[in-house]
Amino acid sequence: MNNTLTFGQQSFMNSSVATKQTAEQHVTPEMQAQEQVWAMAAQKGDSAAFMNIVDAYQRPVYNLCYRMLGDTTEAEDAAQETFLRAYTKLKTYNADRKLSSWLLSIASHYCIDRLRKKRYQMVSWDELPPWQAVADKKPQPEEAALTHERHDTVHQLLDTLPEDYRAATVLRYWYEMSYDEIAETLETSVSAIKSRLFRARQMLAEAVETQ
Amino acid sequence: MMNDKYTEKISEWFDNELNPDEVAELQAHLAGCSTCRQTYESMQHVHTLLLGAAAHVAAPDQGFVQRFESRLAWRQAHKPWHIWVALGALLVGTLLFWSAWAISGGLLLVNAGGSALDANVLYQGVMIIFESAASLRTFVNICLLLWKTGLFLISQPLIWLLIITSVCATWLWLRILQLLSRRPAKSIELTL
Ligand SMILES: [Zn+2]
Repeated sequence: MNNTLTFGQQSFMNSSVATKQTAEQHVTPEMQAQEQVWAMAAQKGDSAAFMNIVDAYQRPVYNLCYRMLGDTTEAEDAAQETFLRAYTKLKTYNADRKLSSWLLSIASHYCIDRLRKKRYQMVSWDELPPWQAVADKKPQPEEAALTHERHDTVHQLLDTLPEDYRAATVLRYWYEMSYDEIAETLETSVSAIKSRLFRARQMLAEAVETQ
Repeated sequence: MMNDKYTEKISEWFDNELNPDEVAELQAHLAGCSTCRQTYESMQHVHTLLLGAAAHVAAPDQGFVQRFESRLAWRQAHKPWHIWVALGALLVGTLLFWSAWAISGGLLLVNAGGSALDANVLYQGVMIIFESAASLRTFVNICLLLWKTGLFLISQPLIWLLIITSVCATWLWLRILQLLSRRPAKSIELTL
């Protein structure tokens, strides 16, 4: 009986350590001090300061959009829209909050809305603004370097989840957020996040089996 | 998948949200419950897949900031005029619809053999709606009036045509508004 117990803290801890490279990894304390300076300047109308913010956070924001939407063109558009929204509601930004978490919150809500709208949408005659022609459908160099099967598997799996569950899962795995942080980002309760992640895992496990 | 009170704990364990006592308790339970062990194993598989995928952070194409700057400039150049045009069109459309509705209703009443008094009643009804609803009595009166007019109007084919047209028109307006609201340009302030 004992030799069937392949689970345990040991194996689990090992796999957990492997996540240390997360989407937020490059946010150092100096950067956090710097971001507050930029945020304050941008709030006072300094648009160059806002461009610094865009530059510094394009990657975590883009990655979130990409994991949510599963498509590079849509991710580019969603990331751009996230920063536009941030720009328009800059006055509501409260310096007590990490800028990254504020931006990720905007991005999550935007992507959730977008996925919901997509579900109800029949025609997409509004989906072709002039700038969309700029972004090509070509894969990212980094994405191309990934083993394709594995990468596609995970995206297909994520695709089976409802938007809210997907957001919780992405924030948990790519951003290593705790339940508290995810709840704050998605503006919901910790117990809701707990059950979303649980349900997400159940659904993903079922999806793996049918794959 | 069968669940017991430990099933959800398995998920929390993966998220490092259990204290050592809870972990020990869960491990003891897993040793004896094959259902939970199966759940654990399938979730472990998913967990590993996700951890593998999460090691890679996707990055946008070069020039993201420049593209953002041009989009911002585009949004600021195309400020909310189109919202106001749409709202204006909506208002005019609604007024036209109401006028057509009231006029045809009145005409139908008169044509159906009623006197000018009937059209008058309709007119007064519309006025009541506009002055409306300070008291419940007014509200009940409006309902009664609408009910009576409704009963009569339903028998008129022209009214059916109007109803269908108005439903389509409303849908179209909602759709236009929805499309416009997707572009949050309206609240962008020019700070440049
Ligand atoms: Zn059990």
